[in-house]
Amino acid sequence: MAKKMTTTQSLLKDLEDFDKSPESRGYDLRLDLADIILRHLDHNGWTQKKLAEAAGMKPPLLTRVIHGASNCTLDTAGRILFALGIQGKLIEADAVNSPGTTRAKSVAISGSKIPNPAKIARDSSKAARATAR
Amino acid sequence: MKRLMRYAQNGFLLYEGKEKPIRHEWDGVYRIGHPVDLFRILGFYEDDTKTNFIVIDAWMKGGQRLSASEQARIDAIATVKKNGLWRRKTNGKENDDYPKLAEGSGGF
Repeated sequence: MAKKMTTTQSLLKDLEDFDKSPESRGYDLRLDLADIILRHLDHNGWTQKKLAEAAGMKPPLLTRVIHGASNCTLDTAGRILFALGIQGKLIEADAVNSPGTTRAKSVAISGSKIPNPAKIARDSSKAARATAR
Repeated sequence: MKRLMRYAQNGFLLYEGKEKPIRHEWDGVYRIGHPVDLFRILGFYEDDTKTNFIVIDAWMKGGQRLSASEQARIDAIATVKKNGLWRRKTNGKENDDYPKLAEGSGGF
């Protein structure tokens, strides 16, 4: 007789099944993007409202992106990363669970710090003011 | 569930705060939620390291504000936390052999 699975085992099995679906790849990317945004918000000491303004988007949309709930376009993701001064890249990584192959490539969003354009503008104007004095 | 696993792996602190998925209610009780649905998970951190989140209750949110019964349930969770009632005991001794969804760094 098959051993009955515990609730946790059953949940982990469901998660494993989901990871084998094509939808899981997009969801992973959304969660990766949300993680990057949250890390840099904390690092910069910014509020979500400030980031939404800097990215030229409405705060509720940003909240949905941060919760991994919104299937935002790559252009929208790019606007958010740009406002944070982040260079976003899609990086291939080894993965399993792709149909038809035992080993395939997966993609994850990676963020690396680039000079923040807004900060550069602020610093330039500060320097200009200091020189004028 | 995938998000919960990620919160555990990356450290819950990253996701905690105003307008973030994990919010403090009161008396050390936190709720985990998502803007697109009304499902809410309630519990508390095992200790000050915030490495483990103990889930005690869950419900479908009814409205913007907590109802009286929901507030009572949060109070009950706070009592569980305060008195350590969630701790599993074997032969009168506490043990940490809990089913875990994920384990992570606890920090970021």
